[in-house]
Amino acid sequence: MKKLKTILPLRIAPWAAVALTFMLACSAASDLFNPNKKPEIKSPEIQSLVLDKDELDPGETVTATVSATDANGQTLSYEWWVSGGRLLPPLDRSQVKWMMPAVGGVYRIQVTVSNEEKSANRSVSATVRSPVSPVVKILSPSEGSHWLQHSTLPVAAQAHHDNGIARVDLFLNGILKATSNGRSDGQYDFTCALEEPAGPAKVRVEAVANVTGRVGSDSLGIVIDGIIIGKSARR
Amino acid sequence: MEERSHLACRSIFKKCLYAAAVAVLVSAGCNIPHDNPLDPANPGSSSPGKIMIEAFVNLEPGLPLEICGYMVDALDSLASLYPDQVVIAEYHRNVKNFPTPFHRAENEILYQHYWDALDSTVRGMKGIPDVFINGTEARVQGASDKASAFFRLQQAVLSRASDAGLYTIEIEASVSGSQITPQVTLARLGNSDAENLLVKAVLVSRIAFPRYTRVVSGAVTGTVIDRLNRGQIMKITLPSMQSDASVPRELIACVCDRDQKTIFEVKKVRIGQ
Repeated sequence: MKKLKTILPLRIAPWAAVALTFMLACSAASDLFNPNKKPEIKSPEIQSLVLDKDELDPGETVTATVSATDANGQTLSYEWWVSGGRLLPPLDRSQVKWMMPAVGGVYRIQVTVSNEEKSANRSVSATVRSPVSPVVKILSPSEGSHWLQHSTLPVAAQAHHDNGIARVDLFLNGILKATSNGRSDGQYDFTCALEEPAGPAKVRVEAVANVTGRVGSDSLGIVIDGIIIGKSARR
Repeated sequence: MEERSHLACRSIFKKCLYAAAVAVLVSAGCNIPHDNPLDPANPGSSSPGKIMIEAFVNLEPGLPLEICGYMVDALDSLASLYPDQVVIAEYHRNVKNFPTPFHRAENEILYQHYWDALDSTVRGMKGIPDVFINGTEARVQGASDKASAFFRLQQAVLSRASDAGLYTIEIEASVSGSQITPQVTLARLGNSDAENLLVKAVLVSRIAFPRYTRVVSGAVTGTVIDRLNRGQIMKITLPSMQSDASVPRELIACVCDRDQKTIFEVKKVRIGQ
């Protein structure tokens, strides 16, 4: 009895393996010969999304054209979206007209191309040239403050523009004293040696905008107090 | 005879009357209410404090800038406008290539002392004109013109004008030829004691040149006063100073902390020629 229990699983195992292989083979064959099974649908392929201009004035209209193909041969639909301004109908074509907003800056247009099941999207940016000058404010020194000749004048300023700031310059009595590249935080700190003659002096901070090159400035008057540097009192 | 006795009675009566009057006065004197704001015995006493202005300048002709002149002119205007509030002394300093006959080594020592006492963040550079107000309480350095120098000085003065003084100073000067010996009477006002004080005397001369009207020609300090109690009056005789008796002079006395960084009160008297 004990011997029978040991031999039985060994005899069944090869037959079970054969049965399993047969079942799998049948399943694959049925798939192969099923005419109702759909092929896998691929996403549309976007070759390009182009604007006929990428730098525009506020309110100007630009045409965006998307070029896309569908490997499945299906009809494609188009959906457009913009981060500013507005789209002019029709909005369901591969080409759309985009009217730029009134405020300068960088704006994005995005298109989603879809077939019956899947979609793909792409975006591109356009720059709207701001018609205004950079806004510049000198935070320090204060108007009318007194500074000692031969000392160092710290100047702090803020400069902003919708198109960003390319460069900020510090002038003292019309003479360029320091320059800084544009900074994303809009904060500019300069130091300037006061070697000018004693008396009133004009501090001017000038910012140049990206894209348009427009210039904005702020200025104020300080007083440079003359000093005659003496020999060391310890001598 | 009767007339004599009558006269004698009148004389006795008069004497009694005088004695009574004196007694009344003496007894009244013991109970004088100390409500005079300048009376050191009045716990609420104070004085309208004066401000000491010490300017370090060089007025030698030929200096490339007129700036010390602007500052001295501004100080003149300040002295005219606030005669009861400010006392001014001008220390002349040598600067490179421009020595001045009014330079004193002590001037340099004091300038260095004040400069060292300033916080390092505001110390800046050494140079003239440099004006210290009540020691190192405030500083006005440099000048661009008289008006702006005056404006800055005035701001410094006005911001201190309402500060009540807690000392009163009286000065006497014993003059013997060219020798001047300052005697200062110092009292503590208010309701608190003071410690670690120093009395300083500065002699200024009016030289017969324009703008040389407050030239420091001597300065002495007394010994440290460890304690001056409220209401206490102290007489101090300072070391003698030599000066040219042929020029008009003024004697300034001030009370400051023992480190001579802050001046608390100042007074000035004119010395006869």
